[in-house]
Amino acid sequence: MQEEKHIFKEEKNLEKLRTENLNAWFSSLQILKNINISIKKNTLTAIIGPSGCGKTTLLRCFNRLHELTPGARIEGKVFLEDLNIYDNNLDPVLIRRRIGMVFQRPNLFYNMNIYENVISGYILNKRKISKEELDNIVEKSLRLAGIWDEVKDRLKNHPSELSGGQQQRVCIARALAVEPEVLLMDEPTSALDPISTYKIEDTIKTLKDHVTIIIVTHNMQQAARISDEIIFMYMGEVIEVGRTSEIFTNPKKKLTEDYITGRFG
Amino acid sequence: MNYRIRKIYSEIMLGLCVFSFILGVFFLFWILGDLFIKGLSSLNLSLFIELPKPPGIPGGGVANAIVGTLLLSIIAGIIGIPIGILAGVYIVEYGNNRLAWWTRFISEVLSGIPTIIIGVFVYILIVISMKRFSALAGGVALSIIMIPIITKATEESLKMVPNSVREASYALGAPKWRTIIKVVLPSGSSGIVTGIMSAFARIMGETAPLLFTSLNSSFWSLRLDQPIASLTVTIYNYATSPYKEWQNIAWASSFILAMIVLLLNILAKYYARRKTHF
Repeated sequence: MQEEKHIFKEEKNLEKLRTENLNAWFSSLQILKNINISIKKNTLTAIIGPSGCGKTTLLRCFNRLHELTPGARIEGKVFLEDLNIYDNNLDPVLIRRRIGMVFQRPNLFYNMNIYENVISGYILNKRKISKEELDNIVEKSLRLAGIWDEVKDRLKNHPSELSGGQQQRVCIARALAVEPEVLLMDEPTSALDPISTYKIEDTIKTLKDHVTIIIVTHNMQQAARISDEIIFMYMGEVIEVGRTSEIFTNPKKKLTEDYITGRFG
Repeated sequence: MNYRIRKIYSEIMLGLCVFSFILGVFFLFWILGDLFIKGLSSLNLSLFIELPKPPGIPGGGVANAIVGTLLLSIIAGIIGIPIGILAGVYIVEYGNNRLAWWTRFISEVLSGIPTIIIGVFVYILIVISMKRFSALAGGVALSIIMIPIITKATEESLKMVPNSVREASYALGAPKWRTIIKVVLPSGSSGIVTGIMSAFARIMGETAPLLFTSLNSSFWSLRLDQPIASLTVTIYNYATSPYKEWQNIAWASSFILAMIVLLLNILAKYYARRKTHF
């Protein structure tokens, strides 16, 4: 028993994601400057910082979505465990199957019902799975996202019937259904009301045991409530990285202190 | 300008708008009214089941022309719909380059070319090389008219699909082509279907490109390598003939054609109104 606990603890400290001299541009505008960070397995890391500091861009570099924007460019390396996801011979599609994403606004597929949306990762990747298994995946994912009870009787209905908060939780379920190792969340509650926000935060906290979560947020209270680690960014650079409790009680840099005490941003 | 002058100015402009509207509607109803009165009175069952008869002999119908118009539309659809949709998809989904810009530009130019020129083009390309008028040539001519309409409709409706939906699909690890097939096209389908309906309504009313491609025929025919009758060419021939019976048949045929086109337009409107969630 004692030993098992030890192993578990060690696994928690394993590195999941690491960047090496990561730089990113939109045309000639440099968004990210020499980012070197490391994210541990099964932790919840929050990226905070003022608007335009590159939080979202950094997040979108982790699943190679950044490069899809016309004019976008990247230099440097990002490692998912031992794999450099910017390796020239690597199909970005394979990376995105291992690293899921939840966006700022709910973006369910309106040409599919709720059930199909949850399993859309399987539909879109043509992965053949039995009906029973799919049913299980749908239930499990919706339960993990904390919305099963609200939608279980209307799985065949159109997603537009759901409220924004409910849709966002179905989006989380959709991302979880393909069992990603890392879940990226880009301000997932910024378009939602306080109650939906609270529910999603609750969901996120319980997910930590299953996946490594990286969340971008504008809301410092939210970062303090849910995260284990904080990455503070300013003007495209990482200023400070540390345990959430440390960053909020004893920040090492003046800039971090100014930001979390609300002096700018 | 003080308030009173502005108000008068506004009233005058509004008056001009209403006048233009009435002018437009007046001619539309005049045409439709004439068509209804003269078309309906000449309408009878033999029109739908009989072949044309020589002048002087009572009866006779345009059954073969109705079938011919449908057949020509089907040929045009088989060629025009896939090309139109694919071109639209290319412009929107892969449109970040010079070729896409040219595709859009050429499609717009194509939609402005007089249809009789398209007819001449197909005449030289197909009729002369096959050494005969044919349904195929007519269908090809109509498909060329269809393509830019469908391309435009596809382009417009795919542009309405929000980018966030594409990103959601990519983030799930879907390749681009599957994203297009499974997410983007279904999301824009109502607009594309509307475009296809309007394109059919448009080509069914075309006469000029058929005059020297599919020509005309007095017999039943489903062969693609033979001339074929169509409603529009029948109307053209009969309406300009000196015989009273033929002129009546022309009126009735016009009525049938107008009803088909009207129905297609109503269907198109119906589809356009369905699901607009974005």
